Amino acid sequence: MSSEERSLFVSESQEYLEILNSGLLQLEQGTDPELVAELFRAAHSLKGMAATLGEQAVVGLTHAMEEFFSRIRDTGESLAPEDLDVLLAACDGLEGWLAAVEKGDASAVAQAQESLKTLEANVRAGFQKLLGRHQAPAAGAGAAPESRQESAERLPMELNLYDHELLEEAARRGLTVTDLFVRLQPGCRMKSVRVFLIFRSLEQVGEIIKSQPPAQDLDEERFEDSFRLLVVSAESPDALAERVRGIAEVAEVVAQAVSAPEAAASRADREVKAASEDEAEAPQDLPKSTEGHALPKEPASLRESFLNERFLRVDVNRLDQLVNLVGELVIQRNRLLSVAEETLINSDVVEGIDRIATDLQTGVMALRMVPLRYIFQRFPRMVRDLSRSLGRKVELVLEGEDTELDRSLVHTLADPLIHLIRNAIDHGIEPPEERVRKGKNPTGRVSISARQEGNRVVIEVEDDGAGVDVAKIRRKLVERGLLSAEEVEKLSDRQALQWIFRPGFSTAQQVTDVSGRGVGMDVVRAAVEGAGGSLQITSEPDQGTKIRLELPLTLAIIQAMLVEVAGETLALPMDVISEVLRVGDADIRPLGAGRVLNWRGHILPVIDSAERLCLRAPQEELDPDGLALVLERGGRSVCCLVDEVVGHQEVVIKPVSKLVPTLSEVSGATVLGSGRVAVILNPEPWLEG
Amino acid sequence: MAVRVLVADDTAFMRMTLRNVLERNGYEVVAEAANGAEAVELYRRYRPDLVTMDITMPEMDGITAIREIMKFDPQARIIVCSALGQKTMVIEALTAGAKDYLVKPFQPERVLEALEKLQAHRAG
Repeated sequence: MSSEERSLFVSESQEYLEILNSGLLQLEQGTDPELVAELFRAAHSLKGMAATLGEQAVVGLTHAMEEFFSRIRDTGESLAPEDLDVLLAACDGLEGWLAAVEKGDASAVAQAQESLKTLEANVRAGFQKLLGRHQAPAAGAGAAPESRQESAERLPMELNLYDHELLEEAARRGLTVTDLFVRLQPGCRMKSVRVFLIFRSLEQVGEIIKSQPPAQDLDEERFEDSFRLLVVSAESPDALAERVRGIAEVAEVVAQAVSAPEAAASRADREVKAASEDEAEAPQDLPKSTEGHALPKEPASLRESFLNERFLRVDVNRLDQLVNLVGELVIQRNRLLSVAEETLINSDVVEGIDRIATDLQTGVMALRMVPLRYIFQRFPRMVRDLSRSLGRKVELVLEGEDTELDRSLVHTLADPLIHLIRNAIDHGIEPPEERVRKGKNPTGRVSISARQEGNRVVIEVEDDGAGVDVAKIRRKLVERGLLSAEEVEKLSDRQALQWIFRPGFSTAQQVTDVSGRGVGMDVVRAAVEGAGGSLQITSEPDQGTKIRLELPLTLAIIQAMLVEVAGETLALPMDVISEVLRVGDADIRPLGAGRVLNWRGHILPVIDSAERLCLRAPQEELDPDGLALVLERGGRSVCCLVDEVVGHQEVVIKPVSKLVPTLSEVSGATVLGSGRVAVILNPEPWLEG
Repeated sequence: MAVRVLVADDTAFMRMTLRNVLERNGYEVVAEAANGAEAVELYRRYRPDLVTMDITMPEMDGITAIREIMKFDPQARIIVCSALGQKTMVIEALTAGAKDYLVKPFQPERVLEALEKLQAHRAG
């Protein structure tokens, strides 16, 4: 397989696996024939794809899964939790195999194949148990689903009211209606293209008015190897059959005329059907038997579905290239604006370019946005597995899954969110008996809600569990020698809670495999802050805990205020600046080794930017003409001193090479309108204190 | 008289594989093209009975080559060759005038069946 084939194979398989995963979870709530049919098709498609690659282990497993689905599709039985466990385990096995395929790691793939064989045995055993439970005669393994599907196609087509009208119209015009059964050769590739060729050939001499399965299914290759068509034509059934036999990869063609008298004979049934049929369907204009026929709507729509695609698969690298180029354009646009100011270029042109660059930027940034649904969709399964293994009852509520975030942020967020959820279930939600004792509902609630607030996205993970034991935190702080007893005394509850995010700080009795494994809260914080976001925790004993994440909406381009510090130009994100004060007019006093600002009743630590960024030695006296910026975000504030404000502009963030050792305050660099390079400041470390 | 075929593919290996299958089964490979432009030129010169045309080629891609050939020979019999996952392009090629398709990696029986059916079409 070429790597292009491989990545397409992998991404398509992942979609099917996703359908299986979420569908199985939904099945727990109750059986639904459409859902089961969808699950069957997903397993079937996976089987087909694996078959073309000769992946026998996958074919075996997916086939066993198909049997499960086709059984409950036909009987309407529901699955027991053990059945779901077995099927979900099969999905996990397939995911593992797929991951190995993606990496191209031959030994990992071989290993995965072995485990798939075991899973297949489990699924088959589970199927036998299902049969035993419902005491129905066991269907012949393997043969049943095929013959069931095949038999559907082998039966003459079911015709509805609408079809009968068409048949009568055809008879009136002296045209023949043919019921055409077509079976493709096994191993036919791109079956839907083969169908396309067959359709095209038939449409040269007639109209296809109905297909079984429906056109959509044919297009998406949701059929084994046979299908049935109803064709209206001046040609005889034999002539049509010859046409189709002249096409490659066709194994069998059976054509029979559907005669008008037959259609008329079921007129009696029609009276009965009329009640349930949709009578809004108007009879179509059939083609005349001479040339120059207008294409009626239905057959055309059969063909259009092949060429109609709403979504496109785009190579991520190409997208990133585009985003990069637009970023460069924005930089050049800024320079142009600079130059235009100085030399008074024709402002119409400059304005025009300015506008277009802005629109282009907005459009391209939107391409990078991805709904949170992509990570949210893994959670129900995870919560189910976790609660079962920990003996908790948990209800998961997801809100705002349509909220969009920059693609790379969604990627970064996945693990931290998973860790927070694990924490909530493991350490937050109490076992059902304990909850009842506390007078709570035995089923705990974990909610994840996302929404956009201004130019940031807020995600909250909340549980109604035991809350964080703040007293325990205070004890640990003293025990570990991180703070003295008096310092700990002075900490507010909120401040004490924030210590959870410090590295190496875990108050869990044991670092359980479920939520431990070196993924501490500090890693979560690092991930979130590294993305330019912030993290906060609030908690009430016995009531629950809430963790609030805030993230920037877009990554690559921000509104920045340009400031000068010790001769260097720096860029500060605009949204974090609350106020700009003249140092001479501000109430700044010394406190201990540093300084504080008294601002609207708040005491804020004062940071000398030049000193902190190692650009200048600490100063005894502050320049009264210097500026004090009040920075605020997520309820935390700090004051930083700069020499001057130079301006504000849209700034494209270019990452600084990892080889260059940087300060934690630096989140990137950019090129200014003047052509000079400026460093972008990340205020998070200062806000955290 | 043997049926004359033009083979177009940008990889020499592919062309060789096809040539082997064809020659072993009585077909005559009159020319090989390494890109779409060559394919059009060689078609004009040799007027083969059948053509196998790869989709992805440099200079001029297969689909464009098909269109060019159809312009001066609407009766051309071209089979488009594609890799897995190029369904949209296959349909585009078929709409542009190709009569059948083959998916790589080739199975010799399929290749022969496609050629046979296409040649039979011409007669009928």
